[in-house]
Amino acid sequence: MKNRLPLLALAAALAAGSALRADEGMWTFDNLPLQKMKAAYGFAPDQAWLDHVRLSAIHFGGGSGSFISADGLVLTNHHVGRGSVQALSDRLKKDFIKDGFLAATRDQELKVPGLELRTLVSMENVTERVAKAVKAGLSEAAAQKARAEELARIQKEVREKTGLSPDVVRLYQGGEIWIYAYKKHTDVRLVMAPEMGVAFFGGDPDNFTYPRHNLDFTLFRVYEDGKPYHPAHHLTWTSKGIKAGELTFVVGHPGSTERLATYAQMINAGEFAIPRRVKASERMRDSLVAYGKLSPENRRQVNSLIFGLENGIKASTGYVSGLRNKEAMARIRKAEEELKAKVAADPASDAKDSWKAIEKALEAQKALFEESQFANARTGGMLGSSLLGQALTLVRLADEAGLPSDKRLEEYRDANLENVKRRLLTERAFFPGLEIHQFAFGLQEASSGKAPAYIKAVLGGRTPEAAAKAAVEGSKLMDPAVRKALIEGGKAAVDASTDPMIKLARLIDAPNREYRKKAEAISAVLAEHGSRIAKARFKAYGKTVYPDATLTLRLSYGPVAGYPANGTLIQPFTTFGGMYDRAAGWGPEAENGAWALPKRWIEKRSMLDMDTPFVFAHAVDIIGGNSGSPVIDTKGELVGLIFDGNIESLPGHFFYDGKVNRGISVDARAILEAMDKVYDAKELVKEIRGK
Amino acid sequence: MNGYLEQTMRKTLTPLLALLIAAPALRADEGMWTFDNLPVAKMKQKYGFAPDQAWLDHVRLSAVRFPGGSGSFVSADGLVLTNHHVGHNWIERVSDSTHDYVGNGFVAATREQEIKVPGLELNTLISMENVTEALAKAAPEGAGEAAAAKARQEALAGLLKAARERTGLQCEPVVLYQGGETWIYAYKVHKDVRLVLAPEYGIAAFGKEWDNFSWPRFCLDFSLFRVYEDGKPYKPQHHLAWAPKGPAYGDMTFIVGHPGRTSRLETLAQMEATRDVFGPLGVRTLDRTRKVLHAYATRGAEPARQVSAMLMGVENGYKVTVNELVGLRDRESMAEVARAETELRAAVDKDPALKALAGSSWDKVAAATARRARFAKEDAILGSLRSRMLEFALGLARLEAETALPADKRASEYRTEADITRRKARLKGMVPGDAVLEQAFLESGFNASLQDLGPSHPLTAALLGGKAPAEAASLLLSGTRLKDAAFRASLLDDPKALKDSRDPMLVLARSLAALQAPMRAEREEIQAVIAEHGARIAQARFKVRGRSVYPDATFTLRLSYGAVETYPSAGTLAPPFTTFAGLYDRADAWGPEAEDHSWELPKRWVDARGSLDLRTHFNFISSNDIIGGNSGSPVIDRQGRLIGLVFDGNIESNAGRFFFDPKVNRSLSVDASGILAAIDKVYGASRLVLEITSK
Repeated sequence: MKNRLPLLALAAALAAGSALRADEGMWTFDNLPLQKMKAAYGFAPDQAWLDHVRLSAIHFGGGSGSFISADGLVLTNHHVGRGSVQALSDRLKKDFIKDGFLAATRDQELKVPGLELRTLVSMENVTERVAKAVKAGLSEAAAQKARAEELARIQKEVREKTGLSPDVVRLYQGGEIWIYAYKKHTDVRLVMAPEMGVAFFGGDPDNFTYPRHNLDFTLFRVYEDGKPYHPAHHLTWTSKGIKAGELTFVVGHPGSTERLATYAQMINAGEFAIPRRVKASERMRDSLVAYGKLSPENRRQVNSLIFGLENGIKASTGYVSGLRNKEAMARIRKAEEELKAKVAADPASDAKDSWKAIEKALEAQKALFEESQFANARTGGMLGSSLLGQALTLVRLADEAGLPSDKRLEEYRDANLENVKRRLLTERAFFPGLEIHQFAFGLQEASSGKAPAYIKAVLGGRTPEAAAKAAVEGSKLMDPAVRKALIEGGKAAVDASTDPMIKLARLIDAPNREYRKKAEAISAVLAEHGSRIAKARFKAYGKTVYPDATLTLRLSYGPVAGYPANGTLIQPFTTFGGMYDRAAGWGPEAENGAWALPKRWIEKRSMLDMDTPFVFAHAVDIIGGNSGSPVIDTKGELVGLIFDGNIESLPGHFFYDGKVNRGISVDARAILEAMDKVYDAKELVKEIRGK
Repeated sequence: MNGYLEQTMRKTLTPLLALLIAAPALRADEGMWTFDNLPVAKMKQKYGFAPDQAWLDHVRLSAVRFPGGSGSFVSADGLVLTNHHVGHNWIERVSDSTHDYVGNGFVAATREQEIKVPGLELNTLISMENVTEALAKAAPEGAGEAAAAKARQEALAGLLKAARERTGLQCEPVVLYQGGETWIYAYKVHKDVRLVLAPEYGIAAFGKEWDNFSWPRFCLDFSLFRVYEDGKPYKPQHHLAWAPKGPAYGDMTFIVGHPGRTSRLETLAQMEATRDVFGPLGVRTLDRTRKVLHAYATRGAEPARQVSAMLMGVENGYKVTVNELVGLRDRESMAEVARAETELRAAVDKDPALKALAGSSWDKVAAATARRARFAKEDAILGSLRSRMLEFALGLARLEAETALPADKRASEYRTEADITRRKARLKGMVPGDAVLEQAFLESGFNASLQDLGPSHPLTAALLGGKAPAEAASLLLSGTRLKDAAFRASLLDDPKALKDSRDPMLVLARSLAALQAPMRAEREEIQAVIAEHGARIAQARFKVRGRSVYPDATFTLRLSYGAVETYPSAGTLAPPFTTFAGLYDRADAWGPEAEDHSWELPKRWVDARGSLDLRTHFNFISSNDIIGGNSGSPVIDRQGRLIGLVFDGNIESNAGRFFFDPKVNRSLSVDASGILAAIDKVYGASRLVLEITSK
């Protein structure tokens, strides 16, 4: 039940102008804290610099990238490009993930099906124009419609005038509306990818941590009309690199933050919601580990599930430690008090009771968690069972189809119906043993404590294991053809079905709807009051603060810097020497080979300059989505490539702590040294150097 | 080989096994065990190996005790291995203005060049005798408590004398289990000890204070000495063979050395008071002190030099205290402490004799601790007034007050003429600090009093006299004549001059002494309660658990066991080993200038880079239970060979003073192969390599 609420209040918190901390902020290009930068670093970029880096930047699916040559070469992270590398491997029956890939010539560059990159060409603030479209005296619904129509009109104009594709971007939780116009690139080819073993050196254990030793980069090339594309702007590769203390800029697409959450929401997240989720994940992980121990095949089936859970647990633990940071929380509370005072003094504000309303909603949410065990037992399906999830969808599809579209549950409305059917018909790997195990686990979780009546009904007096076994073994729903027949047969077919999963789905349908209704009501309250607080905050502080992340282009800045951790001061850089140290310190076998080097890196060891700076830490405010962002120096040259944050950066979802929050980047010098000495990619090195 | 140990071993081995099985509370690899009482069954169960008597005798007789640390014989010609930081003072002692062996290192190219270290004495533990029963019998039936104590004391003195005469060794009483057992340990003393090799401080303490207590580390923290007898290299009966390779990941490790002090028998209430009251106050005080020192150090190179040693000590104390608190705040560990205490109390309550002895002791310790906490703030303020002049004045005022009393009414350390002479001598040695620093310390302490106690508190009133902190401090310093050595001497030597003096610093000291007098009496009373009931709890615990547990550390020889094992840290798993490659990584990453040259390599190491195999293991971690005093202990493998050298614990090990947390508490050691490679390739001391590696 992760609410994607427009959560607001905290920015308020951060907002209080002076309360903004050093180097904090993911700033939009129209509103940069130039004076502050200049005061702190004696430098602020001018318009030409800004246009240059913006037009060199690339929106890369859920991540970021940049043009780095006049011939359309694009740099991003290996983990951003990994999906493409995997898709090409599957298609060509190769393992480019494990072995890496290098196109020796341009002819060998491999087109990635379906990959689309975008460059942000222009940004237009249409807040006023949209406001004007709403005539005085219109009802809220009519106003909404008028605004939507005006936005559609603007988008159409932009599309026709420029040929670009326009997106609506809402900043400050709706305080500003912009049209961002992108140029799209649809012919994108893979040029080079290092081996996973060096791109993801340290594996899951090192994920989110620092010091790191990851060559986490990939190269693609944009083509147009079958020829390399010549972008108007691309970043020049640094000739001298960056030093500790020097200023860096990150230009990329931070995905989502909740820095506007109220103090109560953060406390709730840190003390209740997240710990609860962590405990559930830990139990589930333990259960999967136990299953995996039964045989190597079992282990294979659950490997990625366990990794996903571990990663989530690690991230959550990072969030919680941040949310329990007394100093940070006191600051947030203080800023909230300040905003509350401003709201109280503003007779026009409708947010006066919003903090209380949110607190009440959180209480209700807690009670709901306690009363329903549904949330305890999610793993994509229902109660741990993917078949039961599909059965419930089939039952609801049949029932809802009989209602007018606007009376249905949202996902069954006409606009979404095709998606539901497509998902139902997708063929997926199915492991009966694992399905039984997961379902039994889900039932066990749901029936621990006070089991609700419907769970007792599902169990029918049996143990969770017996109930799960009977339902999974008796069901035919794993066969897509069976599901297809039920979709096509409609309500009559579903009603007539005696499949045990369909029967169970009927038992849980009503109580689940009831639960969902309550949860949605709570979410609505949180959303409404969150947006009132956001509005109040925008009114009070305007653009002295930055908007929450929206997966659109932003600029962050800060110097290369170590930070205190683990009883010492953490080094600002690592070198190739550090990678070989880790590899020798662990040996190739430990922790499933997490620190095993690819063969090439062992063989080419003596060719490398060990003191080449490899990865660095810098005090920039970034978040997921920034992966692949170029790191740029004051000259506008590329000095690094963002690929992660340290463990202390995780609370950055809620607030920025400049003392310890660090972005983690591959040093541009290491990429070039590796391409030259390890991969022997001389032509590409020449191209990147612009020579 | 000696009779006492053999006897003891034979007597205890069988019942011991039974006890161990009945003691599930001890955690994996926990314990600093005495050689007469090792958890053999537990070791065997977990690692499939436990040392036999010959193994134990061999490693015990190879072990060496340094002043404040540990070491071991590593060659047939009396070569001794310890840490650089254990040898540091002694290396400094043989340095002079033209020979900076600390900064530049020292290599004796031949035996003739080995430098005799005046005053350095090393001990080897030859035998251990349990005299508990003999002492118990010494007290006549029905004797009063005082008479019994006296009888036991006399008996012990007699036993010590007899042992000395019999063995010709240096014999020391060792009290284990807070009095549950008394032993006599007999040591061979070596007085001719010479410095053989010391690496540069820059590589021995690479990362300086920053990296202290942290992991991963890259420290060549070793030095070599040689024991001589009659002007010739001493031939110890036992020495550790140097293993051809250091340990592998997962290998079992033994550490034999002298852990100094632990407080693992403190009650939950005491630990909670440290966690909630004393510790945080200590952190606050240390933090104030380090701020004063840092501010002073930024004034220039000379001020920085003046305070560098003090600053290092304060920073070290700060780090320790902060991280002890981190440990005490670990909910899981404290729950374990609480559980063990509840279990012990239940066992005590069940037994009428034990109940009479210690049934109420926990509550008494708790009440006394709570009383003690009531003036913890005042203590902390007084502790933060680090002005040397005020310290001098306080000493003087105390001397004045005590000597005004008849001898039998004075505090115990002021009773005899010798006591008074000693006090005066100490005061005579005190030299006032730099005026700027004196002002800064006084101001900081005054501010602390104002903030923590408030303006109307008697202590604040006495310190400030209603003025602002800065003003009060500068008035004091401009008014006092204590800067003047002759004036200080006159106060010490002339009682009348002292009596008549109205020097403002002395006036302040007198009023502080008057304020403190009642507190002092109460503190002594409280301390007595804590000592008495702490001892009763320890006795009760010993009666219930017997030797299934290990005694608190006493700076005597212990064995701990474990394995090379990772731990979760900073979001990932800590690497079990570091290598030379990592050393250069860190040096390259920081550069030589950063943080006052904390990660700067000595020139030899810059030059030798190309000749080293960078994959060589340098430092490693293991799950052994150790504490300060273990520094310099050999790390030993199953074959009884040397595989490493303990030099530190990780940041999480600071909680080890109170309890051992096997999840994260790790010992840090220099890898034996790293040491050998350095001696060979960096220091070019092939004669030592040959000596160490010869069979």
